[in-house]
Amino acid sequence: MRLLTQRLYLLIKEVLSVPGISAIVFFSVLCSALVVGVFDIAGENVNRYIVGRFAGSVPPNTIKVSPPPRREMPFLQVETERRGIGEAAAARIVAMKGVASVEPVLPVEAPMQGGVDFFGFGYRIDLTALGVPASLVKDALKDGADRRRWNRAETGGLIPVVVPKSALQAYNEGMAGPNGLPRISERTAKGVSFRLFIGRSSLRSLNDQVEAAAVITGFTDRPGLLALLIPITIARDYNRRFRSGYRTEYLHLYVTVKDHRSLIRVRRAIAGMGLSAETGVELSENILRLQRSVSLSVAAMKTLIIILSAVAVAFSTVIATISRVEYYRIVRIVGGSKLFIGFTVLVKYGLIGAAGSLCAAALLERASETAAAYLSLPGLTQGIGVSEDLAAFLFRYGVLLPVLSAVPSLARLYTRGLGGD
Amino acid sequence: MILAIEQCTKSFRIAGKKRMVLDSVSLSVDAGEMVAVAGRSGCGKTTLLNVIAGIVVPETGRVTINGGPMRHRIDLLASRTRNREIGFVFQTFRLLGDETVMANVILPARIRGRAGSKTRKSAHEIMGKLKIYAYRGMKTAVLSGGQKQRVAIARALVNDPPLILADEPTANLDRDTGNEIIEILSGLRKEGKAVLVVTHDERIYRRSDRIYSLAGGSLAATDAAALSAD
Repeated sequence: MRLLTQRLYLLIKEVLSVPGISAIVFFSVLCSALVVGVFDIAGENVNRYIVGRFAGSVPPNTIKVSPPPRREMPFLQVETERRGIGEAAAARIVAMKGVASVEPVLPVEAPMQGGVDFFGFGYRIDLTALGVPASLVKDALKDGADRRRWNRAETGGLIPVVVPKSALQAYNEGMAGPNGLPRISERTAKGVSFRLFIGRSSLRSLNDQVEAAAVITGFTDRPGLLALLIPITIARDYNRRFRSGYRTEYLHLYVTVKDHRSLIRVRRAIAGMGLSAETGVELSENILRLQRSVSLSVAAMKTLIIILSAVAVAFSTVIATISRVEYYRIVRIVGGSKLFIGFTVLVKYGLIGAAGSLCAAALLERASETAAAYLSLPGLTQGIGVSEDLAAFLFRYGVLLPVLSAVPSLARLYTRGLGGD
Repeated sequence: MILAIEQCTKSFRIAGKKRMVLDSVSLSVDAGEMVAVAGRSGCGKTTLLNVIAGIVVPETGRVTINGGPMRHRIDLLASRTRNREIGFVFQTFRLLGDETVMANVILPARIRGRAGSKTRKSAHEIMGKLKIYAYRGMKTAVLSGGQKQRVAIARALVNDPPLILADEPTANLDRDTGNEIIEILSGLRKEGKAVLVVTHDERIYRRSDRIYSLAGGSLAATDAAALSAD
């Protein structure tokens, strides 16, 4: 116990000895940790600015997933076999990492006709329809009432319909003009009711055919197909009604990903499933390349700053240790072991380093708060602050650097004798 | 017997050549005996002291202090032996200049874990005998050479070691002060200490019980007259 007390006394004495030299090490650690911390925060913010404000403002493209293209024999011009994307494949895509949402397009697999009355004339036309979720046609469902109607639509009630803009244009240019019929604009057509006949067309009539009231809810460019768009639940119900043993098979899936990196990964994974995945990856690749370049530049600068700061700390520690070599030598002469001297020196510089780095972290935190209050660059102020990771790094850096820098001087002391006079 | 060195060998590689500094050196010092080792600068006198103190590891041979072996290869044990069994006195005093006389004197006792009132009382007595008690609160940096060497001797004695090793203890002192230090070292014999002095000083040769000459790595018995003739 007495030995421990005396050793502790000598340890404290060593820590407090030569305050001027210790202060140099302390301030070199403090300044070095401050520089490293400031650069880390600045670098992270530049990185975040590029990623958050630039890359984030250019969202990644959507992936259009289709069944794989079929090889057709030259003499077989008609496809008779159903082909689509099954529920299992869709579920796999939904579960993929980086996928934000999947919007399916389900074809109505029954003959259909639409009927309208123009000035007392009943007019019917064969139609094709696709079932889609509200999110795919959100540009056409302008208000909440439209979206609610879409989501709650049932086969027995009024069916909301979204018309492809290309279909409206085709009618106006190809049918209304040449046949002397009135042209239709989006404004006049919205809210127009008509009849839907499901299970019959000019070519075929099925049993159990259904007549339903429909209303034009809006117009859209998505998904870019010349077919009426109806709620997907309605489409599924009709398919089950008119096709015995119906099994859901989607025409397309529109996959939205979380970021540019995911776009490339998800596209590759979908292609790996044997499906066709169409999207433009060039934008995402360029943005990822830019992100990588910025990250590499910031990392290189950080490394350089850390090395330069580390050299400064190491230099001051070596000088501080050398200035105490005679003391350590005297302690060796009077019976101090290498272990005791080494422990004392390493604890001393560890404590100085810890104090320096903790002060640096506290100063950084305080300065960050002030800076955050004055800086209002979007995307830049959010990241200002000392994260737990940065604080832990600064602590390790502040403690280990002077401790490791003291080791060569100690080793030199150990390998030499007491020195001749 | 307090110190026994048996067949110790130590060589250094200097500029790529192996130089034998201690070549099967054997030496013993009894309690109450003062032995001087003479030799030219660089002949290996300090290496001999380092080997005895357990700081330099000999290639062959063994060192026994107060009946116990010096465990050169186990630093903790070697340091313990150095702390308890050996007191050092150097030409340049090797004192902590920014510490007081008292702090310097009790440093070995602190390392040993004994710096209580008993040790302090003992330190006071030693300082009184060495006539430095009045300076106990002063920093050693402000003391004269003779006073510093007395502090060094007090420090060497505070743990009451049986062996005192002195490396050129009078080289940095004027004649009168040197004589006083020689008197003190010589007087330690009466207290049963074994004193081994490495020196060029003829006065020490004359006061020593035995004299050895170290040359070419070999230690040979000699006398003051022969050394004076050299």
